[in-house]
Amino acid sequence: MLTLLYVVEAVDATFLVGQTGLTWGNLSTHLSKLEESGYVALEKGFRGKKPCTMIRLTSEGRTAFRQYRANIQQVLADLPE
Amino acid sequence: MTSDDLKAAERRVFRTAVDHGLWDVFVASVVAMWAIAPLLSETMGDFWSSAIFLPVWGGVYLAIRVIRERVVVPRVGLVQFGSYRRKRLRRFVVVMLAFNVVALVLGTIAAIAVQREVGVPFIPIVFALIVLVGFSLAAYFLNIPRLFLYGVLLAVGSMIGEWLFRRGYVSHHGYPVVGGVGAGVIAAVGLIKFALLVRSHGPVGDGPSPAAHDG
Repeated sequence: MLTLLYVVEAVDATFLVGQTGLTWGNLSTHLSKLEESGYVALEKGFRGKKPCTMIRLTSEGRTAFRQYRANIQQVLADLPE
Repeated sequence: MTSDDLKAAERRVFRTAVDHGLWDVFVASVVAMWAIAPLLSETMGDFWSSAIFLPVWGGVYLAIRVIRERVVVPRVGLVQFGSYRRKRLRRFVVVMLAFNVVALVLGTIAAIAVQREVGVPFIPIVFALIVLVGFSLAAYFLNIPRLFLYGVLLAVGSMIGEWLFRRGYVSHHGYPVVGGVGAGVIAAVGLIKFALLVRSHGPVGDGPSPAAHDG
């Protein structure tokens, strides 16, 4: 899910559910924890008359994701041939 | 996770959000002009036989926007693209504008060559070159390889159309046949893609909002 959020500016929950295969309940739980950690921001708004929540990675989230990528790449690089 | 993986993820997101088949129908409406305009030009003249398509394209564009809003977005969701994609789309627009100028120049040269009866089939050669390069650029910048196949279809079609015209099988250098078949194929592909999307994705707007967990 963080990979998806990293490559876009923002997405709505419908897109995340479709792309990740998570259930709505699971997605809400994940997002709540990520929001508590300051990694994602939820922006509530309206699209026409319908409520719409856009989800974006915060700059802290982007930094954490980059760090995570660097760590994983280091681990993989350190593996013996 | 490498940079290539991230690029692949970004391409997948872009295609999921944009490649729903409706834009193929718009492209088909443009290609349909190549089929119908030559037939109309005898009664309406060269300018009006093409200009009459502007409101048609406007109508198709508006219909696509409405269908996208009411059918695609509730099923697929909304995406605001990142800076990489926005830059790529801006570059695509600039390149296509420049290419249109080049195509206009090439078309003018071909028209002059035809008036001077050079003997070489300049119009179908230039047309084939323009559609092949134009659709290839679109395929590259939009990461939709299918567009390249559309270019090949129309380029090869225009050469076959000219061949049939020279043997007296078709009129208007074969454009009504080539454009009609091309528009039909492209529209059919788009409508099939769209139907598959509607079939495979139910509207998911009634799920609980993640905003409900905001505390």
